Amino acid sequence: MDDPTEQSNDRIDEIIQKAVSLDSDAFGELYREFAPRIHRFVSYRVRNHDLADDITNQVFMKSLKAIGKYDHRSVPEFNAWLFRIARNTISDHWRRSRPSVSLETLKGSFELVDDNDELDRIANREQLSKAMKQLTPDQAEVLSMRFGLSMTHREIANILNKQEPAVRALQFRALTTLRAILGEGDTPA
Amino acid sequence: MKSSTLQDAVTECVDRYISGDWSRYDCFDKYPEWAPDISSYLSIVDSLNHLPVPMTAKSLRTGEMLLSGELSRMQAPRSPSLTERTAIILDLITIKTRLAVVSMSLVLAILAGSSVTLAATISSPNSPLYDYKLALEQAQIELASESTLPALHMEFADRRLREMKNMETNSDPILFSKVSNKYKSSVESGLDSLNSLAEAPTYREESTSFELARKQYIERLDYHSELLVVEATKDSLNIHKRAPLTEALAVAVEALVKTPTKIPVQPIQQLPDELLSPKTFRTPALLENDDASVQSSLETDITNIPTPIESEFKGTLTAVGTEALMVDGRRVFINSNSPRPQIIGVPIVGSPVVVIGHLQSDGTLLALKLTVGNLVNKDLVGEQLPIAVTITAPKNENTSTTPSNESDDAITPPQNETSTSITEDISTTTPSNESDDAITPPQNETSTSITEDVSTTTPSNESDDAITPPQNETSTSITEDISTTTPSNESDDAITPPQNETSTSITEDVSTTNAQVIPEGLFTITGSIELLTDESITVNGITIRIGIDEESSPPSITGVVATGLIVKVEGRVVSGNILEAVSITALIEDQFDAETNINGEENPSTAPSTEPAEEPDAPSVEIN
Repeated sequence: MDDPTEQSNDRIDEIIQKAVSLDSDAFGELYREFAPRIHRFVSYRVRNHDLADDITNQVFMKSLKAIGKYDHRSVPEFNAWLFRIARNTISDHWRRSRPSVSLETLKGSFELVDDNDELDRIANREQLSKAMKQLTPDQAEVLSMRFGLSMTHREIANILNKQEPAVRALQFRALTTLRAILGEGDTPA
Repeated sequence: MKSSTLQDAVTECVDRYISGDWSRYDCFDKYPEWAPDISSYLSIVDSLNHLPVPMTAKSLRTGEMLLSGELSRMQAPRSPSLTERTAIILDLITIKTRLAVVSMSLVLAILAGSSVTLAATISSPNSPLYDYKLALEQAQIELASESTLPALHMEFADRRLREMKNMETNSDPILFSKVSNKYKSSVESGLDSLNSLAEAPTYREESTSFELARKQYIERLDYHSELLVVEATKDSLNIHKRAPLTEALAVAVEALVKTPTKIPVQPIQQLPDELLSPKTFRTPALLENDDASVQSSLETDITNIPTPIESEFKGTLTAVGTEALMVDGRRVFINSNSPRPQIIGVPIVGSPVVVIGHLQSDGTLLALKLTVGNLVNKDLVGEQLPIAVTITAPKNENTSTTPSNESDDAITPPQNETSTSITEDISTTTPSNESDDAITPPQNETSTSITEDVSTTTPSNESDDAITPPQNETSTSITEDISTTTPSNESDDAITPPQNETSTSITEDVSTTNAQVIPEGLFTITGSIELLTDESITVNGITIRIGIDEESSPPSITGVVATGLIVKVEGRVVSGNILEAVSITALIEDQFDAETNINGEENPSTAPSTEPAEEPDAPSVEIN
């Protein structure tokens, strides 16, 4: 019996090939497949939900314009290609933006929520978002790729031009930093 | 003894945990010596997994629509071949002998250098060929028939809009201005040509052709308005791009309002006999005035005034202007010299409305009363007339009388649920009275609120925004402009103080009490943000303190709040006439158009340059 992941990759492979020839249905399917993941990745880097939506859409607009030049080989490569566009788009956003914080980003602090669980979730998110800012750029990027894009260590290593053990170490150090900030345990010596 | 390092144990557990291979307990079984540590690391992993707010179905749909629109554009057929273009142009030359010299030279240029022409047609505003492209378009206009002119102008307006959208934010501001002016020019020329069609006798008979041209024109403008609202409110814009886009939006909305309608055949109506005899209209409220001159001034012989045909219709508000509204394609004047209309509710694009007014010979309507129905927050989509300002003051035991005089924007706010309101503007019978926008929002059902403008007898005071607060539940409240009793003062934002709970309360323009401290109360202001700083927000010319400082708590903010956006600000009036925001709600939120594009392009394969690792956290408010 075939591996479901492999089956899924075959299907996505086929969709990508159609999308390269600007098949609108295929590109739509590709968008539905990858947009939530790109959005997750973007959400780790920008805390404004609307901005994350906007950047995600920009990523796909750019990929649509560039897909004609994309030389498709495998799904992981496509994933990495898409990720690079997302990374560039976020960079562009920060370059264009002045060092300021929008009122929207303050929204979470003022939200009135009745549900205690929801309140906890918001509080945790806020805490974690703040803690994420204490990470080094490499650490933050590894976590974004790992949890946002569900990339493997090898895929991340390829993109960041690092060795796999280095990526594992970055992930560990990032989690350790978060753990220390959030008080989940003692910082290892 | 611990057989492995913490890093190895955590890395394996995390990897297998997020891939779904292991549960938390599998990890503990595998690494019992590190179980407590692993537990805390996996909690972090859980939190990380829940950190991003998932993309909503709505956002996904929006993205799909964006991509679909972009794909359609990419797949659209290119310009016709040289042979086709030549044939078309030669055909036009034979048909149109009145070809101008400039057009002729352009045709020759086209025949001589097709590659230049092709390059020109796709050139962007910063291209050296852009002016050539504009000249080609002008030549097309010269050659077009009158019936196709509105559509042609709008096609060029489309191009200008796309150019503005696609221009990099850091482009030359002069270029933005140039393209914006060209857009304005195309829209206005389209309107002029449509007006010519409406006025041309042949087109009165060929109403279908006119209606078709009008429909196309309105459709394009509708599309432009929606697109511009989205584009002009993007956070990433700088002022150089936002300003021309906002200006273009104003042009589109204004043109929508001014779109001509077909001149209808005036229905023959037999007037009742009593209307043919001289009539004297008297204002009951002033009949007791002993001053004969005042009385005589209030008597109007209407014998010579043609009786207008009163008409009522329901529809959806499609555009809002300062002079007129569009309701299902029909122009409804709200600010003419005729009797000022009573407007109940806040006119917002997309709202259902009932209009009662006088039908004009050109098919337009002079509104007498406009009722906005079924308004709820979710209906607040699109532009909102920046006129809704409500001040809700707390109840006060003392009756307060704050006189007012000439008011440009006399606004009576929503009343409570059990009172009714009568708004009477005597300016219809007294020409000297001046009140440009007297707007009465929904009133309650059982008590009576009377708003009167009697400034004709006392023209000394002026106020731009006379704001009347809600009345109490049982009393009769009277909003009155009584300049005779007050010294001459001027105030831009006059706010009426609280009303008495049991006695008749009189609400008036506080222009004469400008220096007084306004009693504490609540307010709601709806309009577009003119200025946003880290200390205050200015809406409709009214500055409200945001209160992001150590002394007061910050307001709750819903949606994206930025300059140019329509927001509703609720807050309280604190001592010293200071308005302090409690909540700010963006009324245009998540509003994306299928045609919305991104600004600029980049080579996706290019490695990113220095990228900020963290979100900037400077304690300032973003102002675009």
